[in-house]
Amino acid sequence: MREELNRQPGAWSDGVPTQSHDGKTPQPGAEHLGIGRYTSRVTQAAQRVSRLHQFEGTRGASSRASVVFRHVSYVLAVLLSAAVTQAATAGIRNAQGGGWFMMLSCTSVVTIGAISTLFYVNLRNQIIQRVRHYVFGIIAFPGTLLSIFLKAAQSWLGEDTLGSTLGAALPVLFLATVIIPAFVFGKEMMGIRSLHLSKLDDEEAVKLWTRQDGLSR
Amino acid sequence: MRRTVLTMDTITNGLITIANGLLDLASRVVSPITVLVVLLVASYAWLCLIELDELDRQGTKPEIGRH
Repeated sequence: MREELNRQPGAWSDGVPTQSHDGKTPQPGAEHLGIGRYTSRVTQAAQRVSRLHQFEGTRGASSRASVVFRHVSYVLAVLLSAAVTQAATAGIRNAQGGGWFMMLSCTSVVTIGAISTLFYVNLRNQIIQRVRHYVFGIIAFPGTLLSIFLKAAQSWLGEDTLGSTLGAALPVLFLATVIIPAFVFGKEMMGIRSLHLSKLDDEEAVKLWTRQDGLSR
Repeated sequence: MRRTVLTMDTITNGLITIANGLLDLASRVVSPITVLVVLLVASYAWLCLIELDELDRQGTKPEIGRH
């Protein structure tokens, strides 16, 4: 009986389906021949819900819901940061419309990242991490803090040399925080396939790997 | 002359009215910030789908070819 169970397509001894029998992935090797098992989208959705219900239960549903809510909150956080920045930079020389530029920059990063996941499928998790790092670690939150600082500095920056110098320098810092990272991200995505590849030749790599590269050699 | 319910003028005027309405709607709705928000939401929705797909993959056993 157990042997028979194991021979059924998609059934392991504990009944958990394999990837090629989850109703989503076509049978390997059959998809381009058109001879794979045909499942309609409705059936696929029903199978997904059924599998989720059977094998993951409430935790599976909640983990998926948390992913959706997290992405909704990403959008809201970007919009809120841009709105605060727009309000804080209003009337500041050389930094007006900072929220608009923050929105442009964040959208560029997220869109470039989304397009990059189509081209570099095996790196898509890493790309998502890089997008999150750029949007929230570099552009949105630091940019918002900087814009609030710009707003606060307006009240004590005078017309003397130090004040005017700082008043001219701070918007440049804002530019470097909000605008330039979008270009850096674009460059990073274009070279992501070769970014972390070793440039060592075989001999050097093997020496390093076998720890034969030190003085004891 | 026999009168018909729809003449070409009526159809043309109707189409022009619809086209004007669409153009007016587009000029009111489409602004740079709207485009940016739509792009942002669409891109994040795609990234969200990828993460959901990763969760689905984690919920299934890997397919290991016989060897």
